[in-house]
Amino acid sequence: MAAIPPTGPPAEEVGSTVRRATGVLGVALGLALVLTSCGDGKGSGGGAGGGAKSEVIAIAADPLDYINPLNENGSPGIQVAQAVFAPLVATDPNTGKTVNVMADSVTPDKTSQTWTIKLKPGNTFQNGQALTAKDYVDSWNLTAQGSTAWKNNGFFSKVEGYDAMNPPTPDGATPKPTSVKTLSGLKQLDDLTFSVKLKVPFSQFGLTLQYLGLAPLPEEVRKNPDAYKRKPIGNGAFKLDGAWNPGDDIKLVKWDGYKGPNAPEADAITFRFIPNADTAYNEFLAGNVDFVDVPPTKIKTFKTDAPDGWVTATSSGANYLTMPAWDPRYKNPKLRHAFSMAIDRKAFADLVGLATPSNGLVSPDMDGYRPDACKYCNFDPTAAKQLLAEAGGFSGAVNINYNTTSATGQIFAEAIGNMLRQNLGLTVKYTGKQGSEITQLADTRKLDGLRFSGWGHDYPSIEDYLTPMFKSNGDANFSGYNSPELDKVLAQGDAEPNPEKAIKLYQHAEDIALEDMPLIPLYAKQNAYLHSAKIMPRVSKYTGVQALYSTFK
Amino acid sequence: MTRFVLRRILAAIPIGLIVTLGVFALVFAMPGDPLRELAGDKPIPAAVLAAKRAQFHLDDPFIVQYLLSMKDMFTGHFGTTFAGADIASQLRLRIPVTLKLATLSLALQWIAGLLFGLYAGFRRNGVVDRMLLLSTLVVLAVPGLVLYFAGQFLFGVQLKWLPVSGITEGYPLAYLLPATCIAITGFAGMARLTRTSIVDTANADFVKTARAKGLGEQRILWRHVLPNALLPVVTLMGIDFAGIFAGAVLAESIFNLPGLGQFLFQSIRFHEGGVVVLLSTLAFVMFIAINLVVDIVYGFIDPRVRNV
Amino acid sequence: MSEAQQVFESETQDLEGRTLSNRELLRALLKKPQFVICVLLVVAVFLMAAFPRLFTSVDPRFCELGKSQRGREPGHPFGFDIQGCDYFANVIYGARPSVLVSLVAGFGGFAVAGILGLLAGYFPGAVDTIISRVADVLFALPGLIALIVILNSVPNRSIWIIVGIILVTGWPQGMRVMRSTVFSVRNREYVLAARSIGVPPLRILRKHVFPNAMAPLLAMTTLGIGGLIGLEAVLTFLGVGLQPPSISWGSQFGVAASYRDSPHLFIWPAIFISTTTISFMIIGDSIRDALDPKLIR
Repeated sequence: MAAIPPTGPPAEEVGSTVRRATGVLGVALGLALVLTSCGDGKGSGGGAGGGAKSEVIAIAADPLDYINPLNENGSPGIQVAQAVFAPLVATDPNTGKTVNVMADSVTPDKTSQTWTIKLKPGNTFQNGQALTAKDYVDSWNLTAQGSTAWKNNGFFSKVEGYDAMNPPTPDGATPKPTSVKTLSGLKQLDDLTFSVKLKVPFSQFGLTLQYLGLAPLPEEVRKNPDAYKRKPIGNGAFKLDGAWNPGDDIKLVKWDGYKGPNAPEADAITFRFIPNADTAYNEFLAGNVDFVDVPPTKIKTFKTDAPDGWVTATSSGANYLTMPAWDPRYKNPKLRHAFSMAIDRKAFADLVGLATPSNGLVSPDMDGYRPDACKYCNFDPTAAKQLLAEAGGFSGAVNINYNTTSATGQIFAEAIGNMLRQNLGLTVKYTGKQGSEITQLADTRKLDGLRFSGWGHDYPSIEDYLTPMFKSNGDANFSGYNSPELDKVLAQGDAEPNPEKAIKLYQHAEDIALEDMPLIPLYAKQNAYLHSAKIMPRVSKYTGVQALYSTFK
Repeated sequence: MTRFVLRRILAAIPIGLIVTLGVFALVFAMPGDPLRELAGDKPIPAAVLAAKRAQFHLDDPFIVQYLLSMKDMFTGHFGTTFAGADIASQLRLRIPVTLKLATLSLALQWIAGLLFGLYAGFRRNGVVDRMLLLSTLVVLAVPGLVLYFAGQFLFGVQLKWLPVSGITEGYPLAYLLPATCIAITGFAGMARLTRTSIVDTANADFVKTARAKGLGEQRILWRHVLPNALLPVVTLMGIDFAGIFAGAVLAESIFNLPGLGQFLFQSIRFHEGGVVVLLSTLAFVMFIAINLVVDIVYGFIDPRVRNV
Repeated sequence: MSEAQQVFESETQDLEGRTLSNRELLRALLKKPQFVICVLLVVAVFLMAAFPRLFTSVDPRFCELGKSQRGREPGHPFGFDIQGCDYFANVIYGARPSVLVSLVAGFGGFAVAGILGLLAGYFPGAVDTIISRVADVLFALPGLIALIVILNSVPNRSIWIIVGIILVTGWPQGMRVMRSTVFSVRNREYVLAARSIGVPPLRILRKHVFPNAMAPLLAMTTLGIGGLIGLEAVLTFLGVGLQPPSISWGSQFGVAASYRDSPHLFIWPAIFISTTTISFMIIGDSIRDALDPKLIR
């Protein structure tokens, strides 16, 4: 046979799930620029001499080709962008409450449909240009244009006027060019104030503003974004240190002009991209980087590899086994409950490592999480068999799809398959495919059988689990689930200005979804990180582990 | 000579066309939407996907896409990858990395292979010979992956003699460990071939005749044995050189060297037909050029071949 | 083409002089102890592949996830795998796909390369040109790309698909060996004699040319078979190998490569793969040595 293909393991190893839940969470955590009881007076003064407080952060991913938060929705890009750019609001790592960063105030009207955002005066971009409401309005309009082809375009679909800018096109058709270049819902009121009118009321919109993908670009960048791919002009705590050429590490130094709250303590940060996660881990063990993610294959050994330098984040979203709504064989909720109760979640979570069995559809760290939400998540093979019989059994083989670009995909699939086979007496087969192909098949409702999926929130609200995954046509409705009742309850929650009442409504929606069980809850995974003796990354229940906000010894 | 070279190059053109077309067709036939792999964590709106598809001609028929990427290649307008990287600057960055890795590993492998092979060949069934046969069996039976990870762990992580990964330490230090790993896997073949070839030639009739004529051992060695024994060795060197590009994928991935192999692997993953074709063409041109060089070298070693 | 095969090609290419008859070859081989031992080992592996129940009565697919990665205990000499299945039974059952891939791809490749090489060598001109040009294309096509891409494209990666791709892309090297030996045989007296009395070409090929020209290719095939077992492991590691519920050494090895904290998962399939590989190589080596005209004299 021709050259035994000498190729490394899949370069990117973000998580076992198809949509890379941990990546999403990375985004979520990245958003949170936060006040740490503002004790940062001493760090920023000196530090010119050779980077006394400098750190090298390893990122196990392919190198970035540009820094532009509006065109990033993945963990590596956002992680770098959050050093260079600052969001409107952020989550406080100590309290979990939302605090203002660039914004001075964010106020909804009575119905939560129109939101007025006032900026703090005196902020500038790193090129000296003042940061104004116009920068936000124009940057958002630019992103909302389909022809700009930036990844955060979808965020603005909630805003009034999005459909006029992006007329719906049938699959495969070329989009009709439109002359509409602005969102009718976006209005600049004065230099520092603008308003956003949404298509429908949405009580959580204020929380979504912490998404870093909404950062502003200065005018010179907006005019010719391609020219600034490798020389971003941000409004955050760090700026690029010298030229950044392809193949270089990203070297950042503290930018004096950042007046926002909570500047990180570091004076200089280097991001080093190492596509192979095991190699990145080895670089850490050799002492060449200060911070690295623990890849899934090292979850069982990292504590002995780096006994004094590891931290874990409480959780990173939730992971599920996904039912295909388009296959009538899987339609009966009793059959789904039978599958769920045939799974020994405890043993499965041990296999995953650093994970806790799920007992509901939202992450355990959310306000509104209930530890006893799921009535069909206990391991009970006898009851499961009974339920399967009541549902009329299952014809044919259960196919489990797994992602071949993940080192653990096949292993997790086999574990689930073995339990379904042995506890329910089903025939099981397996199909390994590239993640993108599984997603595409699922999105076109052609996927045969079960698959794994995961989700991490973009903003800390249980609503950000329920709407994307369970609302009909939700952004991440993996299973093709459609329940008018659930849609109605969600809409009531979105329109409810009182947070407690809104949570009650969302919990009701979760109950509906658990009865129908389009997704079987599996586990919530913790992420582990290694850090050098020099630094202590910030660890928070609300914002996870952030190397950017390390304290130095 | 010029006519010979020209004829070979002309013969290579149709093969090259079939190879590039085949490679492009393979990548084209891969299931899954290339842009979806890019999408990352969140769904990308239809409007954005459509704009990207238009930019990269993804809605055009297969043959149009192929011709467009061939045109880009020959006009030197490489454009950007789906993810937005400038391909020309990627090539400028990556070609030297792979070349450095290739030359260093080949140098190590050839020197060690020739020395051991020659020695074992002249002292057939001696201690070195037996050790060599045993060690080559082991090398050929141990999967390359094991060697790479073990080498990185031992010399990089544990002993800290050599960099674990990356090219920040510069040439040759950063390349030493991956090059040695490649060299070890290639060494077995080189040494065995050299040994066999020496043994065969030393027993050949014309050597016996030379010895019967009373020629000095030194003269027999340099004028008769070596030139003939090295012919197949040169062939293998050519095969090695042409294959180093593919061989570099594993080493570049594990040792994080930003070379062409890594680029190729990424491009396959992202269904970047254009980039894969570009890199395959590069590999193909190298394959043809090296075969040509091998034949010319053959001519110098063995006059009989020259006027073919 | 694996290193071993490349080397072997060069080692046998210029094989001229007289060729051994098959019986002489066998007799020469049986005199070598290492050959006999390796043949016995290979036979044991074949038995394992054909009748795994001879070696174990444990069901390899009975798994308790709670016992994941546990070490050896009474009744479970190799411990448990990631899924908590008995590892000894899995390693025994894993022989079948590995042996099938290596044998079918090996000897299927032998047949394809042999026939094409025979035709190319015996009919210079159009037939030779076509076969050789196609071989050139396959040589120049980076095999790595073909493999990853094709295996990613097929909906169900069965053992036969993997074998098929190996056959389609792997024959040129063997074809060249066969072609060059046919060149040296086609002008022998007995071939010329057969031709002059009007024996049809196909019969000449079958009766006279093939038996006298196949030995080097056969030796090369056995030398390369070990590499095919290793290839199956690499494919799994790349995520394009056999899918569960197939049990194979390759997938065991590929999975274990990700879980390096449990060395027993790694060691057992590695021992079986390496033993089989080395056995095949020594068999191939012995055949080649026996064919070496310089040693016959």
